[in-house]
Amino acid sequence: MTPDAAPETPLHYLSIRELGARYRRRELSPVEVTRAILARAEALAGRLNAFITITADEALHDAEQAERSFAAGANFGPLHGVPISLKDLYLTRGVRTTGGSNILADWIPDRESAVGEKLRRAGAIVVGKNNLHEFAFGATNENPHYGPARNPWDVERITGGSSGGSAAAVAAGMGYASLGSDTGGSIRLPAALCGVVGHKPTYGLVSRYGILPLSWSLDHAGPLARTVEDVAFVMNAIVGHDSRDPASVRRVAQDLVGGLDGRVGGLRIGLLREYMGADVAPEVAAAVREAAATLEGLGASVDEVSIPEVEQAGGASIGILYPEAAAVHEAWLNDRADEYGADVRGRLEQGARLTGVQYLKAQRARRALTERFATVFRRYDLIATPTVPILAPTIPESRGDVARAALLGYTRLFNVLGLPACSVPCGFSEVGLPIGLQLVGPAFEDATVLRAAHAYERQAGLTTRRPLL
Amino acid sequence: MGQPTPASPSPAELSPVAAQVTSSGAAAPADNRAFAAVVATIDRLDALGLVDERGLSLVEPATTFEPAP
Repeated sequence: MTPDAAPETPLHYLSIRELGARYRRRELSPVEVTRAILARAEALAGRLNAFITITADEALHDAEQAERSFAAGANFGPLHGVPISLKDLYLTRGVRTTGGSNILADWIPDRESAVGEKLRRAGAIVVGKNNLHEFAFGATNENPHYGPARNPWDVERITGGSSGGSAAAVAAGMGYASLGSDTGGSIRLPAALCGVVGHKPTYGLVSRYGILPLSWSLDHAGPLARTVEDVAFVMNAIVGHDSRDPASVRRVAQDLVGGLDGRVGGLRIGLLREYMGADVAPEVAAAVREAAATLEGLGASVDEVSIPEVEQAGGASIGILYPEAAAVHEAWLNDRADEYGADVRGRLEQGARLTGVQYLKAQRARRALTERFATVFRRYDLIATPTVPILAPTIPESRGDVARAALLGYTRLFNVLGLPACSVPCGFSEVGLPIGLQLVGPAFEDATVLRAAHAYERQAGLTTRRPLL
Repeated sequence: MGQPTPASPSPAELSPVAAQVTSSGAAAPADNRAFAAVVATIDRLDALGLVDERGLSLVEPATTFEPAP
């Protein structure tokens, strides 16, 4: 378990466990904490641009309700009274949901996402809607309509995307968790570049109902938070079958928090050779190798594994993502194309030009890759890679083809495969930019992925380092 | 028989989206280069052994997707 916070830990950087403990001891109240988080979000809005909408009135109303519940002796669980935020791709009843777009700039949905419903039932308090790459279709979070989300570790650099506002909000203490979406790495990439934890669950484990789709067979919903335990608290609240999401699976939910302290010794971890080559920045490679050594020190076995087929991940991902996204956006692309940002419009138009044969080739590749990984996971419990092979580029640098290709290069394969994948901070560059380790498990082994990430995180001791803001 | 073969529909007839792409003026060459790169990336998927040396298709698409447990 996460040790109790040091007395000097600022309120906005407490762990979810510690926040709950202080609520129960009546040392803090949900209204007091929500006010503090809202004040911080307002104060940092200009520097980080992590929110498109801050829902102060609704949050304070919910906080007052939570406070009354606590006073009456009720406790809805670990998220009761905990301020969080939602990527502005999640539908929110009565609160505008833009998708980071101009097209939906004034849309106020009449329904809530399944994840939002579950979190509200668990007592979480939504303080706002996070900035994102337009319609989640990009890796930089340079949004032409709402401005770029900025990296708390260096505001001249990108957060990564598409859940960049979520990562910035969590890293900067503007909430204790945020919910993102991940179609090619959009939870893990910004988590890595902003120094927080991001988990893409197994496909089907978390309902996408009420989240604007990008690519039906690649979209995943999941949390970002400052520690693996905090991620697990959110996961416990949001997993479960939902008949409104056709991909949702029926499985008995595991207690992902309770499983965190299980054994790591004996786990067989494969460090993916193809993702540790010359394309990886030296500081990233060094941090990931050190993380592998740390896991070995905890009793896991780590050796390099070569899976040459992963070089085809880009084709499989693009060949599925682009046509599915073009299908999702068909009506707007025909009638309102000028309202998209140039980069998103360009990708959608490319998707519309791809043929059915090309789409099916990518789906055949998906099957071939899935079968290949089934054999890999007979030998290994987990695969380890850098989450991102480069450090966070500056906003202008991120517009280059090389940076764009690198950003999602090591994450999108695991959307094609639908496998659980977690990015956990594993170091900092010389200039203080965060580096992420990606741990990937077999389908529905989210508990194993999070257990290893948690053990590593505790041993590495990086969770107390904060951006200077 | 004897009837003229109808001309293939133009991209504009098939899709207004395609029409925008092909009539996008000065940006078209760059768009086409980007699109060619996308197509080449997908073409390379044959390296996964999707067809044998005779061109026989060996792997079915993952049409209903659920990750294998």
